[in-house]
Amino acid sequence: MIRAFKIGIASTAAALIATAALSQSMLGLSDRREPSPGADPNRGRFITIGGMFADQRIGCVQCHGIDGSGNSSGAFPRLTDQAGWYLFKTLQDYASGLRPSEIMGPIAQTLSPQQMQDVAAYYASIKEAPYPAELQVDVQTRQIGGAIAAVGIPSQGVPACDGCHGPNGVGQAPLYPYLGGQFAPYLQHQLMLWKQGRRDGDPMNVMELIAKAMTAEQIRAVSLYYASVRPRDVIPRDVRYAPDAGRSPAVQSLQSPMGNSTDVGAVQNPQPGRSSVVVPGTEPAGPPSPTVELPLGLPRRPLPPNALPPYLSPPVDERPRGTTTTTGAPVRNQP
Amino acid sequence: MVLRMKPVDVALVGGGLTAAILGKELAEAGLTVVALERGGMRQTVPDFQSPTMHDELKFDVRHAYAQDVSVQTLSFRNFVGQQALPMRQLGSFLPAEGVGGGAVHWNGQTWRFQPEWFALRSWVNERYGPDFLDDDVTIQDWGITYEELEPYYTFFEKVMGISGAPGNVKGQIQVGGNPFEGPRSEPYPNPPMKQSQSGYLFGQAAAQLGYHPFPVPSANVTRHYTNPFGAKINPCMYCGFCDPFGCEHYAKASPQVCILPFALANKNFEMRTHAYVLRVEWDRQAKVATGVTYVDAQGREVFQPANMVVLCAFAHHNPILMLQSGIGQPYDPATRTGMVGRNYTYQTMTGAEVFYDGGKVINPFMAAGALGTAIDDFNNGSFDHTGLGFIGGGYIAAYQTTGRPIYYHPVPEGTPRWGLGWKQAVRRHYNSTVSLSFHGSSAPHPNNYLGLDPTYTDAFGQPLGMLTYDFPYNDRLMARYITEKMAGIAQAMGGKQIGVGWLDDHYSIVPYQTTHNTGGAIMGTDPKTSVVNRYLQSWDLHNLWVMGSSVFPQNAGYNPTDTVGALAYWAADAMIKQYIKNPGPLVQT
Repeated sequence: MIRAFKIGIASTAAALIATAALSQSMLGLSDRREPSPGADPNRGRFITIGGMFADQRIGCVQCHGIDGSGNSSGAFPRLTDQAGWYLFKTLQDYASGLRPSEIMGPIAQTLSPQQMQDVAAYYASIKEAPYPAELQVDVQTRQIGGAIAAVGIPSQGVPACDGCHGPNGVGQAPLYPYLGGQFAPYLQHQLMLWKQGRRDGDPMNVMELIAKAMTAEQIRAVSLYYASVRPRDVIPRDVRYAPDAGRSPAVQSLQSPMGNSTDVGAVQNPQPGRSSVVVPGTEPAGPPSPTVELPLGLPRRPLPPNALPPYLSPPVDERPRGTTTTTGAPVRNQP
Repeated sequence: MVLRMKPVDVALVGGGLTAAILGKELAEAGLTVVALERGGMRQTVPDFQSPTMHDELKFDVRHAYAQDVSVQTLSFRNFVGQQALPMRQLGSFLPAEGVGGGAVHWNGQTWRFQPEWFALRSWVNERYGPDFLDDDVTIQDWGITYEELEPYYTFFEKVMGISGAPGNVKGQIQVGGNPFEGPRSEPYPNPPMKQSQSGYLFGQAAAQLGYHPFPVPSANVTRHYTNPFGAKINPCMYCGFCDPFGCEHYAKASPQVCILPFALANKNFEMRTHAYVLRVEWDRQAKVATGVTYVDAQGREVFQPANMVVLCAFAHHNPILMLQSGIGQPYDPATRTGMVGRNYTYQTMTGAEVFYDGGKVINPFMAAGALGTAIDDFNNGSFDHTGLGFIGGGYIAAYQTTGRPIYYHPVPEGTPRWGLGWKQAVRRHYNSTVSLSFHGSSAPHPNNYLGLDPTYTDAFGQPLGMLTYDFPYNDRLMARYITEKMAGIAQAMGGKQIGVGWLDDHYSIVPYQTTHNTGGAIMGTDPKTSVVNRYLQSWDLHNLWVMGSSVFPQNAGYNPTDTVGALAYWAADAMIKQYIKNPGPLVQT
């Protein structure tokens, strides 16, 4: 949630990013991109590419990819940017058998707790990996899934997914994995495993009882919903995965059946405003992106041209200069 | 013109916890019941869903679920003789508004009172002698014993799915529980919560000093649980948004989750929202209540005739409604006569903080409203008061209720109040500080009472309720004695420094302390010193009943909800088994 908040305003004011980042550190919530203390992502990367099994050449990357972006087979979830502690616990659960798997069980058992931490820290440290193309989900399924995510299924005793997994399923480090952008077959498979009583590892059997209260169709709908949403900061770098670039279509002025205009004052060529959410790929063509130095050591990232609209230029000080005009109210040193 | 509704058997004033309890029980007994709630309807879906639910500014800072003080408020003064002024913002306590009342956004700390509390006057006389206390400590017996109330405690705890470690089952002291509690007939329906790091540190230090730490009994339910009515309650996720929020997980016991659906399932029960009750109407000749008058959502004055009227409003609202309706003799501090408004009590809270300065990782945001470790070694029945000059006590607990960014930023004394210095201190101490709290009892005093304000009126033109309260001498002594003990535990916890918040010189209405207001329409054995009898039935009008903590003759060193719920079931039992068959006073005078 914090991160979504941060991202929501990232496109409007760099100064606000500093505020959000500060509140985040004040909250004591570790950024889920941060490796856990004692874990070394570089060592993890070495393990990931099979460095410890030089002879057999088996590494995580063979299935999960070097960037952990996974695939839609259902067996290889997206690991990129997942909370490090969650990935570590997942490896422990595979090793202990809480999550039975003939593939991941033996692999996890060969790893020491330190190595598990390192691998988890590596995949948690990957900041950007491409997302697959937008999933085409029919509107009804997406609405059913979105409603389950937002408010649950009260009549069946299913609480809202977003209650723990965050708005849009962005996850809440360290415990709750993100769901937004995860592959639908993987989500569906895991929920069905819980429904059939074939996996554990969820605290207090929460997920098991939720899955058991859902129908298979509801599980499918919510899985497709989460696969079709993205964390709001996603700006795909890889053009192959970017949705069709270009301007958003102009608003058509429609006529009612009685021949009256239904125009309610919509802007004909909408441009991002102060409160707009920037949808990737819909930026109008413009000059090359300015590179902005962000405070607090945040990653340097070229901002899209509409991220710094003219109204964010430094305000002009219009007060009369060289006079002693005051507002009359004494300045108080109290917040 | 006053609208007149169809008569009903029972009119409940309020739509909170006790109204839900009585609504369900009385409707199932065949009576027509209407609950009149001044606020609106609220349900887990959609009202309590995140992320909108986690709006700290709206719910905590701006009190979205609390009473609207622009309609009705209290005026306040510390002493008799001062000019009372109306509270134009809520501060010290937060009376709720809306269906479910305070049980929607409570923390969930669910304590039974020790047996001694119910017969406090006789217990003090017997143990310490009748001259032990000053005349100004007007403690009284409740007219009910712990043994009589115990089955109702047990039932209420099952309804709410309370999680805890029992300390005394049928007289057998249990390891890991509270050894000072009264004997319970059954263990808690659910196991205790997972304990926090702050609770662990507190428990270690307390045990070293010879005290008896245990997990706080909690209405943040710890596993999938089905209550006796069939309500499904989910396990708590420790998200740290309990008070003052609604629970999106169906994990915090509230009327909406545990009781109300089963009350609303009855066709003869109605929850009528946006009905602001002005007064109870009563027949001066026959000495019975005839119904209630309220203002509905359209601003019309409406009369609801009823054969029984039950006051289920907030604690101080019940006696004020009686005063506004002219029922009973108002208490007069000058002559110390009258009953209604007498023995208003509160809660005596102090705190301590242990700063580890980076030495420990507390993770305060992994929290729940009743996630805490406590000791009960300094509650009233646990230690000897000989030579101390006061009565009462309370529990000391390390709660980890929340780490919300606006609410929670512990800093040591001497830190700048704002600016860079403050921010750096917050950053250093946020994740490395344990807060302890002492939850002390409150003794009644003849000058602490509820009356009607001579000057100010509410939006309906009725006089405001007027609260006169200051910490009595008894409670100052008690708070000093036990806060010293708490400071001793804080020292033993091994932090870099500690801070102790002693009791203020005078009670202030401004900073939030607790919403445990009690008394004003107290229960007892004598109509001259109490408003309701042992069944919570008015001594004056036999068909008027008063619920909630308004009936506590004095407040114990515990949170009141468990006792409020148990008393509601106790009263419902008396209504159904005795009163309905033969309406009249259940206790003869």
